[in-house]
Amino acid sequence: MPTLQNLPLSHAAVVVNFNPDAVPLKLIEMGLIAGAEVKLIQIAPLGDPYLFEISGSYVAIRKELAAQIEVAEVSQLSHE
Amino acid sequence: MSKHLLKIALIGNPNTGKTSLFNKLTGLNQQTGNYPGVTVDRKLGYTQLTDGQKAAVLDLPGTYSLNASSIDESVVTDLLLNPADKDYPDVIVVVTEVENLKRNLLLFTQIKDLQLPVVLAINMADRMQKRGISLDIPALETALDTKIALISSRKNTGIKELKTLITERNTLSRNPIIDIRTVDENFFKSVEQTAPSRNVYESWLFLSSEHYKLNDQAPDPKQLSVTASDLKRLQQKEVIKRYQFINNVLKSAQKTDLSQATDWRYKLDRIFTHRIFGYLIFAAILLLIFNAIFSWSSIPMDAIDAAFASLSEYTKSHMTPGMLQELLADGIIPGIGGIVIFIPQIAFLFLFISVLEESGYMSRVVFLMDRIMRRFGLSGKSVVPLISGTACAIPAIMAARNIENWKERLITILVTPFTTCSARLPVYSIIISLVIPNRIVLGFISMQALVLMGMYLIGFAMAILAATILNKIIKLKTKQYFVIEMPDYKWPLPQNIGITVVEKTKAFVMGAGKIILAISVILWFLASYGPGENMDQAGARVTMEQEYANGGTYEQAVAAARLEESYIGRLGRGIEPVIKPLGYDWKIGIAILTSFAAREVFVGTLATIYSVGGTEDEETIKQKMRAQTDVKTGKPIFDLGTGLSILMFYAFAMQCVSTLAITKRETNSWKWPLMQLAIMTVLAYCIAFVVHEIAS
Repeated sequence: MPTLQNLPLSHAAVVVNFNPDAVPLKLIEMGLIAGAEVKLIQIAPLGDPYLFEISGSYVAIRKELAAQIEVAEVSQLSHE
Repeated sequence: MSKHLLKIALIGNPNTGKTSLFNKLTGLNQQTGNYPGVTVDRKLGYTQLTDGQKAAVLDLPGTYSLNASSIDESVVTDLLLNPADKDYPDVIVVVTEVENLKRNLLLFTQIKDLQLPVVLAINMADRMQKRGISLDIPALETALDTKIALISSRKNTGIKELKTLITERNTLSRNPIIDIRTVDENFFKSVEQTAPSRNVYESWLFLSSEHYKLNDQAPDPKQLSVTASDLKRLQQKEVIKRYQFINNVLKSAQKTDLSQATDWRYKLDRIFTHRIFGYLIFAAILLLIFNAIFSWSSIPMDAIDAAFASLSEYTKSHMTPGMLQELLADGIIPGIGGIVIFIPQIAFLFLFISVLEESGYMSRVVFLMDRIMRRFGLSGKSVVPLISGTACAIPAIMAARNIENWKERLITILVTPFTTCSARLPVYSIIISLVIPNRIVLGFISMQALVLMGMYLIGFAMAILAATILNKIIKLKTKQYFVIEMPDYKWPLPQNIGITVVEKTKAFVMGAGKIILAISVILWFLASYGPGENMDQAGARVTMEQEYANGGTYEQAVAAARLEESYIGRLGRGIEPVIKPLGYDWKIGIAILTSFAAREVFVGTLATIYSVGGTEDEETIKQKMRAQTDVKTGKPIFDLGTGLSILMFYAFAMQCVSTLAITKRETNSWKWPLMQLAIMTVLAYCIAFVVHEIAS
C-alpha cells in the first residue's frame, strides 16, 4: 500500500492506516486520523522534511515518519 | 479585606494570535518576565473589564492539547489540574482562529470536559471574508455549549463583547461536552473507580500522561492492568472521538467557499524555502541583523556614553568633594553607564527576533534547516534556540522544549550557550572598537561589523562542532520524530513588537542593572581603600622617572600606584599569574572574576576600576580603556593580542550562573551543567592563550 513518503508532489491522498506506536499523538492531534485528506505541498530543498496540508493545517514531518502512514485514493491536485 | 481579583487564563494553539489578544487586553500593564527572549512560561498582566472591575490576565504557552507531550504543553495542564495554584483561573478564554477552527476546537473540548467555565474567542474574524468562511455563531454556541466572541485582535474588534462575556462568567455552562467514557466503557468505569469523587477526564489526564507518572494523584496503571502502549491507543481513540464530534458540529455551522482562498503563502514559500534563494535570504537576514547591531546602534550608543561622562563630570564639579561624591562619580555613574549604553543594541536584537517569530518566517527556517541540522545531531527546531540564544541563553534553552526527541533536545541545550548572547555583546563591541580599525570594506560594511559578525559565526560554528562531538559521544536510544506547524505569513503587529522590545530590554537592564549597581559600589570601595598606609606610601613613592616612562601626568601615575595597593589591586595581583599567559593585567582579571556570574558586568567593572585609577582627563569608557598603558613598557594594554584573547575567552567561557541553573532544571541533573562549566572554561582558557600567542 502506498505511504505518505511516496506520495508525489502536489498530490492528495486519504489516510487509511498507520502504526499507532510509531506515530506521535501530536500528529494525530493535528488532524491526521483515518479518513482525513492529506496533500503533499512541498518537499524541503534537501529532500526532507515534507510539508503536508492536513485538513486545513500545514504540518511538516520527516520522511521516515511519513513512511509509517498508509494512504489510498491518490489523486493529483488541480492547478489553481 | 482585599477583594479577590478575577483571574482570566488565555489558552490556545500556537499561532492563534493569543499573545496579540493578551497585549490588546493589558497594553503595557504587564509584569516583566524573568528572562528576555520568547514567551515560554506564564505571563501576567492586568486589564480593566468594566469601569469598576479590574482583572488579572494570564498568557500561557501555545499548546495543541492537554495531553502533555512536551514540557511546554504541560505548563497548561499543570495549571488546570491544580486548583491550589496561585494563578488558577476563575474563567478561561480559549483562543482559536477562523482558518484552523477545527484543529483549535480539539483543545476547547478537552478544557470543557474538565468542567471549567470557558468562553470561546474566535480570532482573526477580519480574515473570514477574504478566505470565504462563514460561521453560524448561534448554532456553534448551542453545539459547543458555550458563549462565543468573534474577535480580531489585529483590527481591535469584538474585544468589548469578549470582556462582557467574561463578566457574565457565572452564566457559563460547566457541563462536559464529550463523555470520555464513550471511548471505552469498561475501561473508563474502572478509571472512575480509582477516584470516584473526581471528574473522570481529570483522572484520565493524570493516568495517561508520562508527565504525571510519579504524581501521587495519578492512578496506578498496574492496578488497572494497562500497558503504556494501551494508554497510547486509548489517547488516540479519544482524539479521534473528539474530531468526529468537531467535524459534525462544523459540517453544519461552518461554510467555506474555496474559490475565495488566496495563494499568498504558496508564492512566499516558493521564495523563502527555495533551494538557493531560501538559504541566501536567511544569510542576508542574519547579515542585516549584525550590521544593525553594530553600525546603526553606534550613534545612540556614543551619545549615551558621552551623556554619562558629562553626568559624572557634573557630579564632580557641583557636589562637595567627599566620599559620596566620589562614590557617585567614580562608582555608581560609570557602572550604570556601562549597562545603559547597550540598550540600543539589545533593543535591535529583540526587534529582529520578534519580527522573525511573529511573521511566521522562523518556521520556514526550521523547515529549511532540519536536514542540515540533523547531520550534527540537532533538529531543525534547534535553529530557534540557536537564534534566540543570540538574545539570551535562558529562554533559548527553554525554547528547546519544543524538540520532541530527547537526544536532540539535550544536545541543543548543551551547545546553546556557545551562541553569542546579548550579555557578550557589551564585551565584544567595546573590545572590537578598541582594537579593530574603523574602516569600510566592500564599499558599505564596516570592518568592525564584520569582526562582530565573525564572533557570532564563531559562536555558531562552535555550537555545531560541539553538537557533532556530543552526537558521537552520547549514547541514547530515542524515538525519531519531528512535527512542526507552518503558520500563515503575517505582518508583524507594531504593538506586539513594541511591547516585546520594551519589556525584554527593561528586563535585561533591570536584571543586569541590580547586579552591576551592587558590584560597582563594592568595587569602588575596594579600589578606593587599601590595608594600612600602603596606598599613601605608594602614591608618595612615585618619581619623576616613572611619570615620564608612562607618558602620563604625575596625577595619573599617583592614582595608578595607589590603585595597585588598594584591596582590589592586591586581590588582582594575586590572581595575575593565572591570567598573565592570556595577556591580561590584573584589572582585566578582576573584570573577568566579577563577570563570572554574568558576563555583562565586565565593562561596568572596568569602567569603575578605571574611574578610580584615572583622572578627569579621560571621559568616556572607551577613552579610559584606550588610555590604559603597561607600567613597564608604556604600550597600550588593549592591543590586538590582548583584545583578541579577551574576545575568544568570552566567546567560549561559561560565565553565566543563570544558564547553569536553567540547564540543571531542564535536564534534571547536575551532570550536564557541571560538564558545560568545566569544558567551556578549559576551552576558553586554551583558545584565548593560543590566540594571544599568535597575535602578539
